[in-house]
Amino acid sequence: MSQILCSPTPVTTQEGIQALLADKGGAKYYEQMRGLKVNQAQLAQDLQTTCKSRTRTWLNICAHCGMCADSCFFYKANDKDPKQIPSYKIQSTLGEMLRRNGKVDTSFMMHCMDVAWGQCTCCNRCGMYCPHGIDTGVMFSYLRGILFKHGFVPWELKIGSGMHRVYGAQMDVTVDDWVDTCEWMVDENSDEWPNLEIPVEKEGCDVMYICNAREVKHYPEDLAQAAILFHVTGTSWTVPREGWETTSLTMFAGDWEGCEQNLKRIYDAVRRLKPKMVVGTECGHAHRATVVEGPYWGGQESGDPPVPFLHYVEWVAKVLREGKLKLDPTKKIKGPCTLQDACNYVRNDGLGKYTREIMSYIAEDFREMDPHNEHNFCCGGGGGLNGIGLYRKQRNIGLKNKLDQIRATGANMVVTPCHNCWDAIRDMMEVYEEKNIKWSFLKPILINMMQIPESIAHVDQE
Amino acid sequence: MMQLLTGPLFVASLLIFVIGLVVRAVLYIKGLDAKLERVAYSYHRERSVPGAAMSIIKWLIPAGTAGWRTQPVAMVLFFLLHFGAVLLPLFLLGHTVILEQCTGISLPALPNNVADILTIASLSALALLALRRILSPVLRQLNSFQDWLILALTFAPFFTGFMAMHSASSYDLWIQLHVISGELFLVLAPFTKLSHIVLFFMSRAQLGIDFAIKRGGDTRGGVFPW
Amino acid sequence: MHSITLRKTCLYCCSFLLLGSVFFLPKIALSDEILIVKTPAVESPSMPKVMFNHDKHVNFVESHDGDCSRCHAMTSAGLSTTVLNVKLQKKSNQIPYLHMECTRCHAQAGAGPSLAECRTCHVVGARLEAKK
Repeated sequence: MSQILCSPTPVTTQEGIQALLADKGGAKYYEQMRGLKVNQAQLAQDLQTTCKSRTRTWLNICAHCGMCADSCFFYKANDKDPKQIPSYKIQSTLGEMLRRNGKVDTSFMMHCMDVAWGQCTCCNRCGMYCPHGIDTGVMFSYLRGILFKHGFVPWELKIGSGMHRVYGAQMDVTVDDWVDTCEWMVDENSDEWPNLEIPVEKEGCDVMYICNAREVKHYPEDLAQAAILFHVTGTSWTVPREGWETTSLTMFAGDWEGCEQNLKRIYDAVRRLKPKMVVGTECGHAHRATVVEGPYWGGQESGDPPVPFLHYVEWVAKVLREGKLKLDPTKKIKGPCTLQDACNYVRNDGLGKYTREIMSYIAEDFREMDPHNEHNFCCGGGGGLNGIGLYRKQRNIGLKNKLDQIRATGANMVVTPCHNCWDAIRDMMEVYEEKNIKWSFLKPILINMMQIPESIAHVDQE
Repeated sequence: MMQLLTGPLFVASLLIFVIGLVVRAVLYIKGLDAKLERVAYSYHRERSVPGAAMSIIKWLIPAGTAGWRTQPVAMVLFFLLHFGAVLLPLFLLGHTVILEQCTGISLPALPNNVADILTIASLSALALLALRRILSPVLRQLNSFQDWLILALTFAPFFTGFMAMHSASSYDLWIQLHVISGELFLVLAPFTKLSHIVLFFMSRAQLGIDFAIKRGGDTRGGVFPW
Repeated sequence: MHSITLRKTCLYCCSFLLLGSVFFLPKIALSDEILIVKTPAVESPSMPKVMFNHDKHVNFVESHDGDCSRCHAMTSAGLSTTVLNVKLQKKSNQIPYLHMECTRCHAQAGAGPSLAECRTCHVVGARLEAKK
């Protein structure tokens, strides 16, 4: 009796997640998908109720001018393959779906999935270069929602959506795992930092810190570094017990209901703990999902969060500016270094000015990528693409564009305050056998450079 | 024939043009959904109004955006066409006479040699745009029947108008064709991609508002750097 | 004898040619009265002058109600030499007035150019062909 792994129903149980995980690479999952029938009537109704004048006008008004082509890193990295032109990609998927009013078959939906997740990272760069302001990245995000609802979503993201629904995090980290890890990191570092704390569920602090499950599960040092930096800057801070995870991988999956659940958890924590502000870790899609899109999923009509929500780089720039974090200028990065502008908080939230403010403290020879800031290209791995095995080949081709950009700066270090960008850069160095370029989050750089105030107890570990 | 063309048919085609485009604009605005699109349209007017304005204005200036600057060929052809395409219907002497008689609105008229230059510029741009559609591998992937239709619909009034101006012997033929092709343009505009006459402004305003309210409006400082 | 025959022949030939040429020249040239519209006086004209075929209009009116006051206002000195009340209009309104009055009658009559056929009236050079 074979289990149903692929269906329109989201995964909401631990067993469901485990069954999916047991299916290596999603082989059975995709096999079942090939037999998954399309509910055409439901699809037509979904399009009718959710696809309105903005998207329909975008699709109708496209002048086929071709200006979006060069804006897309997939087009560039794939030797200007005309099938990678953003307009072509969306017209041949969502455009076609609308033209046929939902009367499409399984192989069409699977093709849409291939394009929506394997040929677009929703970086929104094409929307900047279209004279009509047609944001194809937004349309692909919308299409992902439609596809998720009908069961046509990549295996890893079906799992990721399930993770959020079951654990409230993008990985199988329970609340107890989370709190344990916090305690463990304090223990691990208490020799060096005797008064280090990670306060859990403390009310009325200045900062409530929320992070990425992958830090807890795979790189807990990051959590320790965050704690040390809060400690050294004298920040009154806390982490919530529930609502601690901010990545909302459900956004990449097109699981809007899952996104609403995530935001509710986080906003509940805000209501419980009443912090002055919320600070998120160095993660691009966490910021986009929780701070940019999040308020809408969290029921905020104004689109504003209930209290200020800062990306980590905003907080760092703030404490540097206020003198709460002092860096030793002699420890600046000496070699040429560059900065990765993460789409989700630079193009899509204007935080490039803060990252550059930080660079002025930490780098002697800072070289901008070309183009940079809002005009920067996607790292090549965003939108969940880094994690999708089915499109690994496509992703690796796309990475070349970013690698060329990095190489052109002459830098041997890339400062990259974003998890997906960090992964993409790590992978591109491996895939293209580039051994001379390093990359780093901000936290380790800051820890390395920081001047510890007299008031903070510190024991040198040697 | 001309009485029919320039009388009831003209009025009808003008009405279809104006009403049709107004309807499309109104339907666009009515169809916006703050919740579904996750853009709080009615909030933060102090950001969304300049955001919408700059999103439109910067793209109406040659080389005003990175988009135009990175696509110089497309930019030159578009502006070459649109200078004439916007100025001539409104400010050509003859058009101004008719406008004044119908509505009382008296617009200044372009000098004839300027009108000629603009017309030739627009016609050249149209021809080169057609050539670009044929030669560019990008456009060849995208071309559809409607793209050719609107090129033809736009070319005809300019060409026939120019010929009427400069062909003494066949004036009657050219002026009839000019009125017919002009009215065809007007009638079909609301139903084809020519509706970008209003929808360009709607769509650009929407994106400008999106970036101003949601995607960086409160953190970037200033409007989006198109 | 000889010279008289020669002169007579020349005379007959010339008159024949002269009379015959009537059929070869544009129909209006000799017979129709063309008036160049001078009111209002335009300092820097953007259009060629209007060549007004008075005889054609006279023929039309005579074949209908014979009422010259269609175009000519009655003054104490007799019929006006300009169209209707154009001289009573403000200077800036005289051209629109003429446009309106002329084309309105053309529309009613079902003959004559509409306002869109500028160059039928504003003729370039001396193009004086018969209108169909």
